[in-house]
Amino acid sequence: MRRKRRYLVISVRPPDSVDGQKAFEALKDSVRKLFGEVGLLSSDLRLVRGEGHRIVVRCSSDQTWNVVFAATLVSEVDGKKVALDVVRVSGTLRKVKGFLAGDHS
Amino acid sequence: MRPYADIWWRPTSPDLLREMLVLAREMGYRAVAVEGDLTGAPSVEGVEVLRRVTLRPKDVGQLYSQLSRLRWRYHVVSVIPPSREVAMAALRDNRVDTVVMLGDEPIPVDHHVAEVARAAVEVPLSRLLEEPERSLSWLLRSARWFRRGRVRVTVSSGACGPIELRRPVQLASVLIVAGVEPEVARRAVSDLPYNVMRENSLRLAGLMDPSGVWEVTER
Repeated sequence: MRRKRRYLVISVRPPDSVDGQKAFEALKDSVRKLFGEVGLLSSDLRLVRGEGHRIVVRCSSDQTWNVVFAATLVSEVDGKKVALDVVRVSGTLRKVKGFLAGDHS
Repeated sequence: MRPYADIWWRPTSPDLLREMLVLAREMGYRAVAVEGDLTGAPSVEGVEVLRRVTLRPKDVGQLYSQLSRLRWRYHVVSVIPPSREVAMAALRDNRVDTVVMLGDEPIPVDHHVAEVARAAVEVPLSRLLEEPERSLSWLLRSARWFRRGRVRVTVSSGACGPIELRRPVQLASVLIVAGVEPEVARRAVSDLPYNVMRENSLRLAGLMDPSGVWEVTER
């Protein structure tokens, strides 16, 4: 059976403080630190879009809250104070694209 | 739409407060409680700013004297107890709005606490950011009482600046990962803190008496 997924739009604050890839790595580290290697693997966390200060990540539906919590606890990336704001959670990539196209910068 | 509220901010300057308020409006907060001097505090349309005091009494006697002196000068009164004895006294006192059990020495929530608690237990995110392991350990042990609804719980940011602010859904996630039902967690960052602030505003304005009864005047 196909696994259900969720797409999270995460905004890096302040914008331009770190690039999307580094923010995603920090998120992955946070998930690993909080839930372990098994937690990270079962979250099936992937970077879908990493340009700009808004990144889109994909995760397994039943692990969504764990990923949101892991993003909440990220406070530093590369020695810079940052916050990862989860601005949107969606079940389809199409909705995420629609949300991003509507700007909400 | 839910009235999201953050019950603890502690900005160090009016400029920081302004930045935080603009951000809070974007994030969907409707009310915030700020610790510290609010003279000349900026206002941002759509976000209500209320006064909060955080008491750090050494013993029960000092707690009571601080409460009798300060209760009706602030919209939100919180207590960070140094010991279990003070925590129990604060939890059962109806002049206290929230008790931060997750202080430097976390005090576990157990069935004794659940028996007497009238005030809500406050979980500040800032403590989780400072000391994640210790704080999470406390949270996981205490969550069963929040789950059962025996003890009211609220999550605040405890933010000193904009970088420490998080969206309401992220504050709620703190409780959800500990096993609290999503609806209870959402109420912990919306209805519960918002109603505490709203009712205390009415009391301070003389529209409600301290026991929660509306003052009605004939025209």
